[in-house]
Amino acid sequence: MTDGSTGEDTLGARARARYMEEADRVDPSTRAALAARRRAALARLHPPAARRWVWAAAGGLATAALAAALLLPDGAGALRDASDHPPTAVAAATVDAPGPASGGDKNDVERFGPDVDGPLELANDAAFYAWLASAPAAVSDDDGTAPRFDDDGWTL
Amino acid sequence: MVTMDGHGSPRPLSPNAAPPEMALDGFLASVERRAFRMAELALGHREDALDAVQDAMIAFLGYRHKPQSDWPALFFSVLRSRITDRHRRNRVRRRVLAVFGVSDEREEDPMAQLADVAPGPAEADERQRAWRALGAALRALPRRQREAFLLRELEGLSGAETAAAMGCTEGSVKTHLFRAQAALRTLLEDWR
Repeated sequence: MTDGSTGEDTLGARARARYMEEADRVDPSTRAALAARRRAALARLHPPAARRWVWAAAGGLATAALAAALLLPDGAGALRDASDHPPTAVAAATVDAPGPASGGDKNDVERFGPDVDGPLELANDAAFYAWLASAPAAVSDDDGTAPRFDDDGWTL
Repeated sequence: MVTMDGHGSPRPLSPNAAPPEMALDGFLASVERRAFRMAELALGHREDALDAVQDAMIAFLGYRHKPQSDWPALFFSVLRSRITDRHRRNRVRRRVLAVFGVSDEREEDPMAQLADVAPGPAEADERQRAWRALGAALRALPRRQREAFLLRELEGLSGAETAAAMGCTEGSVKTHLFRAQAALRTLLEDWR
């Protein structure tokens, strides 16, 4: 017997025998659960490679995004310039413009003309207007089959 | 330092030449069933016992660099600690449930519901009754007496190992063990 046992004590020996017997008789479902938990515990020694790759990819993307924000001021400035245009002008023009079903208005040209600045780049294209001013002279050289533009509008 | 088994039963020491992970796996596989039965005796609940064993396995990984001859004592020392944690957690749980007037359904002894692989129903019934009686008697003991009996008497750790696992002197282990045996002799009259 052990040090703490009395000579007459057989209870400890019987309890130990029962303990070992029950350990050998663990039912299959419990054995499977124990094995699964053992594998789960041992898996903590090595994190899955896929998880490492996910973290590496996420870190790389974050670094690239940070580098882009810090080292590309022109691009960031362009984005800022685009966002500096007052959106109210475009929004107002869009809201004020009647839809096709409303039949239009002769003041539409004024609304979208010189008063409208901002993203309508054609309004500021001096070269386009210079070409437009020279267009009637070019039309006058045709043989009469081409459409002409005069004071009454386009004529065929 | 260690003579692992005072009862002469085979001990799950891994070969020193084995790679660490294989040795760990082999060692844990060799002790997991006894660990489960010990936790089941102490906690009286299958799922709690499984959780305690897994917690002990995870915590034991921190000691894997220790000499393999010390692993069994270390593992059961860790398991003892995890069982104590489970006891405290369950006590808090019961108190909280009592505040709301809810009874803890896990109080039922689940060992009676375990699947049985015994050859005959009469033998199985006798075996299960004895096992349930042992668990109930052990859980009726004070914690230190129960730990001394489980580690020293059932698992067969030496007096020094049991003292190290319990954080006390060998003399205290002997005192706890003597009192545990005396109480169990009263509680388990059928076993005498």
